[in-house]
Amino acid sequence: VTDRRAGITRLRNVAPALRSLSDDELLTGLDRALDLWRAPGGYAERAARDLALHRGQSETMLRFGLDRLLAAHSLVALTSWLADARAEAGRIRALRHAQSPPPEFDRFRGPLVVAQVLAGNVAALAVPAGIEALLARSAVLLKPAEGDPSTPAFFKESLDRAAPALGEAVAVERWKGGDTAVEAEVFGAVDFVMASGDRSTLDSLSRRIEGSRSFRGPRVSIGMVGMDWMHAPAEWWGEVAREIALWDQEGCLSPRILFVAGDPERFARNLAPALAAWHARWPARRRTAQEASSVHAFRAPYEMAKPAHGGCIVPEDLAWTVVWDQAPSLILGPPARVVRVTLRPSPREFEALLASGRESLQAVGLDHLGPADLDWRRGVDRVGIPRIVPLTRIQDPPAGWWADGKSGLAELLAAGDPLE
Amino acid sequence: MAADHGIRPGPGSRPPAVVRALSFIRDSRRDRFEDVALEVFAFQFGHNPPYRRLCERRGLRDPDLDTWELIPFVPAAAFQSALLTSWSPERGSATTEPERVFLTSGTSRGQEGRGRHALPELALYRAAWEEPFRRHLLPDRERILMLSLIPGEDVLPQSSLSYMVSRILERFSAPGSRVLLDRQGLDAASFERSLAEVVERREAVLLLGTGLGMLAALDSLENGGRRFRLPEGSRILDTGGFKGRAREVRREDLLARYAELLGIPRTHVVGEYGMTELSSQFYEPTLREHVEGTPTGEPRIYVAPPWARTRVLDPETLRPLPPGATGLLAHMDLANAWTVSAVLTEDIGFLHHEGFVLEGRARAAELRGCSLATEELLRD
Repeated sequence: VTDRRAGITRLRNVAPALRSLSDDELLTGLDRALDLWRAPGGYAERAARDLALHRGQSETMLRFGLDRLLAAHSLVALTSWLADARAEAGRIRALRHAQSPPPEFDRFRGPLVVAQVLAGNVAALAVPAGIEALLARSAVLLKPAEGDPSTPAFFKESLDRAAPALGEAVAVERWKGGDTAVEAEVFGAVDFVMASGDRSTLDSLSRRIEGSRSFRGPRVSIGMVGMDWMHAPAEWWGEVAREIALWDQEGCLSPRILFVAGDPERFARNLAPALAAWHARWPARRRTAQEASSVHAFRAPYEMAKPAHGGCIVPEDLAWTVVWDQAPSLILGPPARVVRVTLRPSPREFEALLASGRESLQAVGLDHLGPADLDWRRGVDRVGIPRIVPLTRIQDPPAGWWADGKSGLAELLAAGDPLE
Repeated sequence: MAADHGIRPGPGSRPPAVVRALSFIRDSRRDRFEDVALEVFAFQFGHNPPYRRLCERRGLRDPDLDTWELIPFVPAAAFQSALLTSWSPERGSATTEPERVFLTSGTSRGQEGRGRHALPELALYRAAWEEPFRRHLLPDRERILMLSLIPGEDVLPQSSLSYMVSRILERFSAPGSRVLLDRQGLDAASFERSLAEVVERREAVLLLGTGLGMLAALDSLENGGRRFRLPEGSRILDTGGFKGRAREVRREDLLARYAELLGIPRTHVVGEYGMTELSSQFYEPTLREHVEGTPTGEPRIYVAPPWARTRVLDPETLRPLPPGATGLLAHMDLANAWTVSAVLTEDIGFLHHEGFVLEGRARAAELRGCSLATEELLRD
């Protein structure tokens, strides 16, 4: 307890120096640290190896995901992230303090000390979460997820080596999630809490943290594919399957339902072998008994369905399940390697369907839309989903993307006192 | 529940597979489990279209198998989405209604997600419950005074457990037996009074309850500072566990409380394992072994009646696991001849000697990370 308290005090002590760093010092420092991740034998390699051992996932898959994450966080991307967030913070402050003139954007600063409680479904969330806080010039305490115990420490280590002034502003503290005594102490000592995780985690935290907080999750993603998919080359099926297979389908950007024009069964029969091919390259982790049981239960009605209504494609290794039906809805399978392919309804029905689940949707991946699909596309736009992108890039978000429809960095910048 | 009229399968109209299953349940020495199971499966494959489709999608197109162990299991959750009956009444029948539809409690998925086990007739069910109960609960007597903390079928007509309790009371209870739990819950005062009476009369009693019901009863005794030493020969049948409930108690702790608050030793506590989707029950042989003087000292196991078998399957691959390895329990219950006999549960356990040890339940866990249950996505 004493160490934890002392750690937060240390963060508070270094925070003023962090606040006065120039943009250039901050951004190049972060970039130097991320170079240590990108380098051969660097932290990305170590993290992938470590995560593969800890989570039982494919090291190759983890490395692919980490490389994508790092590529998205180039120096240029970090610069844009900060600039965009400042503009958004300006809007937030203008709404909150309509009577007072806004400060210069580059004087925005986040709260002195921020706690980032990290989810474990996607690997290395510590990297964007840590960068987010540091871009706000907030010292940050990272709380690792059970499923990802080492990347927060790697992140701090990379900063300590490449940009010590930033490394000093990062601490990693472990405790068992839900330990109310520890969490009361930590959350009482920091100025802002950001958390991502599942429903029970966030419900539990929201009961104990009032104000000065921002939570993300849980959300899901879907795809919508126009009629032209019937002429899609094999590469396209591979790319769609890759986006589903990444992170073993546990991310909030992992597509779970695909609404397709034409014949869902034919689509499913094309997708299933593509998923099997990815399983051969990225063997998925072993499911828990609970997850496996959920999959068996979800499959059953599809296995029993009349052929005209739906069906189920399960390869011999049972790695991925692709079910298909003709009854469009937002009914999901468990996030344990189950994809549902369903018929795309009329534009009006599709829009209504998305609107009914808007609060829970993270992204819609679109593909093979032609001029005849314009009405569906407009419907998606009107609903207001946080991320609308090509299906084949749905799991490749840019740095600082608005998860849950909000900029975490802008929230931090708007929550702290501007630099005098 | 169906009206009590109309044409239903009966002795003269049962298919041969059902006749054979019923005969096997009544006298298991006359046939071989393997042979009956294969005939029952062939019947179900031919007469239960949803099940047949499931088998075919799993690559099984011919029901003529070499061993019952190749019979595809249906997840218990399938009873929520399809009417899994192998009964196809002829055109022009006065009724196509089953004699009884048992519903699952629906605790984890809400009322609308309740599974339905529709039985065209109850002959197999009736034949299946009695002998295992007698064997495991009454190995030393014909009848016993019963106090039930499980409501009867008059209160819960769609509960298979309540149906069985009503039959138990009819068939094996001594005068003075009664049900102490109704729609309003446990009548704690009546429960205490009844216990005091049996102590005073020195009459052995059988307490029937679900794990949760027994826990509530023990709590009420403890809160009232009451303890009993029930007459020798008293016993407990507890069932149901704590599926999907917020409160869970370790079996060992419950056994310790039975001893402490009721004076009933663990040798006289018999666990029953059953589920709405099955027609047979599995029992811990503790009391029988005690009476017969053959206690094994092994972990508490559940044993199947001769017309049922249990397998433990790898949750991921559904391949069978060897004794001692933990996986999902799957039961082959020939008393389910009218519906589907091979049922994959969400229960976790391992095979041990003649039975299985129940370790817990693979409840549909909350989905990990940024994920979401269907209900959440569809909420208003």
